[in-house]
Amino acid sequence: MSHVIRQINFLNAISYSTKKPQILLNATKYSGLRLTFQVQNHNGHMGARKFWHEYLPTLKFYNPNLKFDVIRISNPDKRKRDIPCTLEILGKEDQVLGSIDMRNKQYDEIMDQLSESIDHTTVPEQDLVKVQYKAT
Amino acid sequence: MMLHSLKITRNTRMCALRLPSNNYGVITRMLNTRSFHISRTSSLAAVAATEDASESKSTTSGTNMPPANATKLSKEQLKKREIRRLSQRKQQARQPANSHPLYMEVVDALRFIRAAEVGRPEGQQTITLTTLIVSEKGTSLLNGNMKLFRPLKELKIAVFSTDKELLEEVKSQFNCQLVGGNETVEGIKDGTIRANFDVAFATPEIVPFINSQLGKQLGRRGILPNTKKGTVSDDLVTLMNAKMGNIPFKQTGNNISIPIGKCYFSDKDILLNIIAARDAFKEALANQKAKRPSILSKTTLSSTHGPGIVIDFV
Repeated sequence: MSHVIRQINFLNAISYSTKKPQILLNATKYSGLRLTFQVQNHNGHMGARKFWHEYLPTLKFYNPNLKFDVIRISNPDKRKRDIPCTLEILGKEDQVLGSIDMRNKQYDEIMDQLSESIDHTTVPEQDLVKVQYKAT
Repeated sequence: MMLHSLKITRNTRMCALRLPSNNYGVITRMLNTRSFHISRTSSLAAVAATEDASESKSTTSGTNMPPANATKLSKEQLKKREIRRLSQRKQQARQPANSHPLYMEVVDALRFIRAAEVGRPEGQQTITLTTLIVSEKGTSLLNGNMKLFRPLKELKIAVFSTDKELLEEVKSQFNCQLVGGNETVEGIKDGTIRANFDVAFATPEIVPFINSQLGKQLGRRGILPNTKKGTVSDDLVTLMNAKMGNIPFKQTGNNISIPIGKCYFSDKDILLNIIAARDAFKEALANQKAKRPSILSKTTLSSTHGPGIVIDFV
């Protein structure tokens, strides 16, 4: 695979091929999302990390004016289990409107739960951005 | 014994093989594992040529690969290749940016870059501008200074002088962290005043006193005012105007790569920074002392974790 096609696939993963997070959050209600989780995967934090990697870029792409804060806490000690693993929905004055516990959940499950608990509309098919390969 | 003719292509080099039928499958598998492209030729001419070639050499079932020294090119061939590649690069440089498959408008490119950098620490969200330079062999490297519309980092400035009027003038024109004379220098030495600045300017009359009092402290951090560094002058306002916000750039290899902004900068700030960079590059090209000046080629906007996207720069 040439580097151009690989790059186009990378761009399309953000804007087109990742379907679940292609939603427009209600900007009049929310100012953004705040994710807090561990740097390491243990104690059920892997789904949160994967959610950040797989779905947050697309959410940011279609909601460029909202802020998406990620707080990662380093905890190499597996016995220490009190590190929060939460997704907070922030209101206009940065107050927390809702919270989702992401511990021991797959990233798909977290996305489904977020979609249920947040006011949103799906991005119409004609508004989706697809990077097309054009031969030079 | 039945013979098969095989044509093996690898790096545009071709050689003919002559294989007994019972070994054909084994050798084909062996060649396939080496990711060779094999195509059977059925023309009689090819078979004849293969047989001729095999008669002059051994008739073993192994591959007759060309010797290793066959890849070495003569000086003339190397020169020709270099000229050919240079002309190819020049041709690419002349093509418009929008003909590249990864071309985007700057605003669209920034949208993708910001999405790719979401959740990263601010320190890692640097947007970089990389411009390829096409220059002939022996041409001096492109370098110069540029003044960005919005610098990436706000420098904390300290100004030392015994001239109180000058200090007032400097204070009114620049956002200075620390301004003062002998008493300030003593204060820093005592520890009553914190020396948390990034760059220091001074007038010549106070320099010996600063050197004696703060030589060790500031010298280690590389922020001691120094004539050689160009941070000491009688006319501090002119000096600071020239120095502040100037970022040096230099061609490394066949490109210039400079940090142009952060993801949290607005589109307007980044666009104005790109325009400032373009003007600086063009000025450097105009000042280049060469028979055939360099050409600016493909320009990419990228970030620490994000994609590289081609933009229209020239």
